[in-house]
Amino acid sequence: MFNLDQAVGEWRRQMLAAGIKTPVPLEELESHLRDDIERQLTSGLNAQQAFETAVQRIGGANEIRSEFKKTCGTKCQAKLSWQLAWMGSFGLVLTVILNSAGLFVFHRSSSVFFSHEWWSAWFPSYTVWMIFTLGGLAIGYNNWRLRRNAARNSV
Amino acid sequence: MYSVSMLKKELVAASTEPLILSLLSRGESYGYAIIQDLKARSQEDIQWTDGMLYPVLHRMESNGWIKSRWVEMENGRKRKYYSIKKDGKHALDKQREQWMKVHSVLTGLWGENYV
Repeated sequence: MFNLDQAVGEWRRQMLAAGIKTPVPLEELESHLRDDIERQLTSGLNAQQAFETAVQRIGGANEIRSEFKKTCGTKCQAKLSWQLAWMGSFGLVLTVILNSAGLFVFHRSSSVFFSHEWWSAWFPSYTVWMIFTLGGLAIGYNNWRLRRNAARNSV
Repeated sequence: MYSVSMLKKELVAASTEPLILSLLSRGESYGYAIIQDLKARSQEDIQWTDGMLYPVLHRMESNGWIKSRWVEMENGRKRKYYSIKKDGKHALDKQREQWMKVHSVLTGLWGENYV
C-alpha cells in the first residue's frame, strides 16, 4: 500500500543526501511538491501517480543543487571575505596582546618590537594574520565592486 | 536548466527574470503559483523543470529585487510568498525597455518582409 507521507519523507532524504540543504531551500521545494501532489490528486490521479508526477516535474536533486551553487556566487564570496577578515583581525589583535605580554610581563628580549629576535619570533605571525585580513578585505572589495556593477547594469 | 517543448531554452532562460518580476508586480505570489500562472499564460509553451525556479527566485532575492515571507496556511502547511521590491520595479522597467526594443526591431523587420 502506497504511503504518501513516507514517500515524501524518502524524497526529502534523497534531496538531503544529494546536498540540498534544510531549511532553505528544501522546505520550499517540499511545499512545492505537496502543492503539485494536491493538484494531481484533484485531477484524478491516485496518490502514487500524483507523487511520481510531482517528483518528475520538480526535477532531480543534483540538477537543482548545481543551479543553487551558481546562485550562491557573490553571496558566498561576501561571507568568505568577512570570515577571512574577522579571523585575520582577531589573530592580529591576539598577536599584539601576546607580543605585549611577552614584552611587558615576561620581559622577553625576543618580544621587543623590531629587535633582531623579534623578526624571527613574532614577525611571521603578524604576516600570516595580515595576509588573512588583507585577503578578506580584497575579496570583499572585489565582491562589492562586482555587485555594484551588476546593479548599475540591471537597474 | 529547462525542459522546453516550444520555446528555445535560451529564450526561456533570458525571459525568466522579467516574467517573474512582471507577475510579482501584480501581487505577492509563491513558487508553485508562479509556475502555474506562467504555464497557463503561455498555453504550456513555456515549460520549466519546476525546481529550477527556486534558484532564480533566490538569486533575485539576493539582488534585492524581491523579498519573501513564510505564511502558514489553514491546513498547517507553510508557503513562501514573494513580493517585488522597489529595486525590482526599477529592474523590471529597464528589462521592459530592452524587450520592447527587441520587439520593435523584430516587428519592423518582419513588417518590411511581409509588405
